[in-house]
Order: sequence, then C-alpha cells, then structure tokens
Amino acid sequence: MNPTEATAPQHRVVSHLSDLLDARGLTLVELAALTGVTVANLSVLKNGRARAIRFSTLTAICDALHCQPGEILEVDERGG
Amino acid sequence: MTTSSEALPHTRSVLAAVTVGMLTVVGWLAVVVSIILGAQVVTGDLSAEVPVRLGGGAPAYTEDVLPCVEGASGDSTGCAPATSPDVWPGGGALPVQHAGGLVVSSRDAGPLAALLATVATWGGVLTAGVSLLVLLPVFRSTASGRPFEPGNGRRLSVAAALVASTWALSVVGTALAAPMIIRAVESTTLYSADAPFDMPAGWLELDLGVPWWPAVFVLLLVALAVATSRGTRLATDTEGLV
Repeated sequence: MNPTEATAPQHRVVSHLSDLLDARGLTLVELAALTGVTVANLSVLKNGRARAIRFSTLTAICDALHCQPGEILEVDERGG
Repeated sequence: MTTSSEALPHTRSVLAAVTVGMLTVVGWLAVVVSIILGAQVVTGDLSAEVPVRLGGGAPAYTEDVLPCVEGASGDSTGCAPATSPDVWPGGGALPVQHAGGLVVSSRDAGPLAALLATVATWGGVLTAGVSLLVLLPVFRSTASGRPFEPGNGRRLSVAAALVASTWALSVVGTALAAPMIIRAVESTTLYSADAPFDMPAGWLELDLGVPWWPAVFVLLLVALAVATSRGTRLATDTEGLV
C-alpha cells in the first residue's frame, strides 16, 4: 500500500502504481514509453501527489500493466 | 555536450533572465529619475506650467500671442477687443507658450503648486517605475512559462490602480495648482521698452482638459488582471492532473 503523502489531503485515494510497477518489473521510464504519459506525470501519480487523472491516462496505464483501475487506485477507509 | 534541443530552452531562459534584469534596472532608474524631477520642481530648477486660455477680460491676440493694443497695430483695420497701452505695452508678448493649447509657467509659485502642476511628469515616471517593479514577478513567471502564478492577477490590478491614481492626481493637481501659478504670473513684473508693468488680473484662466490616453493603459492592465486571475483559477483547478 502506498499511502497518500499530500500535505493537505482533500481526498483519500491512494495509488498502488509503485507496487504494480515492482510486480511487473517495469520502471517509470519504461511505463512512460509504453503509455505515452510523461515521466513527470507518472511520478506525480506514483508518489501520491496527483489530484485528478484523465481517463485516457488511466486507460493507457491499465493497458500497459494489464490491470484494472481498481488495482491502481484505492480509497483509503481511514478518516481524513 | 549540449545538443541543439537542450540549447534552445537554455537560450530562452538566459534571454528571459536578461530581460527581467533589464526591466528591474529600468524600473529603479525611473523611480530615481522621478525623485530627481520632483526635487528639481520643488527647488525651481524646473518650471511648473498649467494650461490656460484667455479670459473674457483679455483682449484679442495674434498667433504670436501679442495682445491687441489700441494704437499699436500698424494695420489700418486694427484688431478688437483691444486694450489700452496703459494696461499693456504695444508689441509686448503675453507670458504664455503654445504647447498644444496655451500654457503658462512659473518658477515662483511655491513648491506645493509646482509639485501639483507637474504630477503628470514626476508622477508619471514614478508610476512607470513602480509598476515595472510590481510587475517583475509577473514577467519572471511568464518568461518561465508560468503566466498564471498565484498573485499575478493581483499584481496587474495594483499596476492598473497605480496608473489610474496618477492619472486622476495629475488632473486634480493641475486644477489645484493653476490658481497659484496664475497668481504668481500676475504678480511677476514684466518689462517693456517703456516701463515695467504687471500682468493684468483675470486675463488668464485655467483651461483644464482631461487627457484620455492613460485610459488605454488602465484598461489594458485591468483586462490582463481579469484574464490572469481566471487563468490562475483554471490552473489551480487542474493542478495535479495527470
């Protein structure tokens, strides 16, 4: 689990991109090449600093990692 | 080794830094120059002038602003209304200059009148300098590709307010200074070939006109401020969007 590190969390969505990359043996640079998403944006998503995600980005990542959105994003049950 | 694709952004950032640096220098120079101008006005090194027109009691005048004096014109048709040679010597020019309309100037009106009459000059330069300095963060962030940095809209609004205030102050200042300057001119002894004389009272009246060109700068800055504020809100909304 990759807890959200936002300084002022307005949401409880956490990203598991780091875990998925480790599981697939991919780096951010390789994922960027596969998806067409910039390394900077992928880093923002991986480190929990993203506040919104385009469906096109989500689709590209899921296609590259052969996963579903629910495996990348999860709502933390703990209160804010 | 720097490739051409890396050189271009580097060149742009150097150019941006140089531009911002030059604007900083120009801004501070303008502030210093405005202080010097103000000091020169107060000490009388620069004359203070106000726009005037000839009042109802003044005689007719030629293009060279020579009052019509009875018996002084060589033209048999004469000119009217004409004043008596006891009031004004024939051939003597009025102490006014053509500058668009007519203006009268004096170095003896006192520091307050001088400052009020010349707000457009020293105030305009000061406003330009201070506005440049206020807008430096806007230039810097825009040159860095971030025109919608938080605070840029507010800074543009401040610059618009500065220009508008100086514009208003220059008009009000001229209106307040005119009676003092005209009084100073009227109390100044003039000299003719025959004898010294005083400027008759009531011949000069303030001809206050409002220049409208500063409105262009005010409106431009206000429009930029509104657009930038909207842009900042949009940028904030999409911050963190991947």
